Amino acid sequence: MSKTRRLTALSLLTAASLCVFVLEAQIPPLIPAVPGVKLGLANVFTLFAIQVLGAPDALALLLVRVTVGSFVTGQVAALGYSLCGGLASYAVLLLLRRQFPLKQLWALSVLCAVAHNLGQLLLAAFVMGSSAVLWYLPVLILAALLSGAFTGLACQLVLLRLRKSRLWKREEKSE
Amino acid sequence: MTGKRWFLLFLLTALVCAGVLLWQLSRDSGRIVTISQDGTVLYTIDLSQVDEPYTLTVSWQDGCNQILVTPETVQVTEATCSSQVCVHHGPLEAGGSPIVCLPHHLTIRWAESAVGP
Repeated sequence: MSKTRRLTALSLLTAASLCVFVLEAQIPPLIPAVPGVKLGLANVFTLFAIQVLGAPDALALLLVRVTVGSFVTGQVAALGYSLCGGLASYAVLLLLRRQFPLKQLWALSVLCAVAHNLGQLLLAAFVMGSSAVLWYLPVLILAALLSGAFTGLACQLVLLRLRKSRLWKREEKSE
Repeated sequence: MTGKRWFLLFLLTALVCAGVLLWQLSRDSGRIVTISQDGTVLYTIDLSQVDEPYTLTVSWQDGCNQILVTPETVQVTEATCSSQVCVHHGPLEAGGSPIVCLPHHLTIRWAESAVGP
């Protein structure tokens, strides 16, 4: 992939990810009692980017989406939590992506989602100096199992189609 | 690990979480409420000693939360933040989730001493 093509693809993916993020932020909370439980559809693009463009590009996409997204939706106070969750899930993605074939991308996505929610919750417990927030742990893990599987499956299906139509080939070994 | 094994592992995790959640919701939480901010307990209120409803104001930097204490429960009625998560939480329910205000580092929960048989 040429440099220009790569940059264009990354910019497009980042913009699309931001749009989805902003759109999703307009939907009222799925479970009113537990704010923060949501599908996290924007993560489809991070998953897609790490597979198609590589790890550094996916990190760039993630960081831009989280920072710009929090400004656009007016949730700047929550930026730290978003970053912590995003980076925790990115770390899992980076470490484990070679172990998961494309057909199991959904499972990797579940692990990332769990890491995301754990990261946020632990940061909250640390910042508040209180274990009270850990009450939400089982709810957030349940939510991560569902949302991670959903977003992972969405990305997996697209990538499988792209591979089948020979528009994309996964580089199994090299970076 | 195959896809099927992952599925089973996640299903098991989901069942454990659902179990813990049901246990949390069904246990007797007692009548004592603690209000803490940034790791220090500000108030410990025994609701069975409360006769008349009253309000408390807890401030944090340039913001504050108004807390209504009644003989039945405790709830945040007003908060000077943009998210209003603690206000929308509503009253503290028996066995229910703690009230958390992330921007003001405030937590309202049933006292830990209530845990146990």
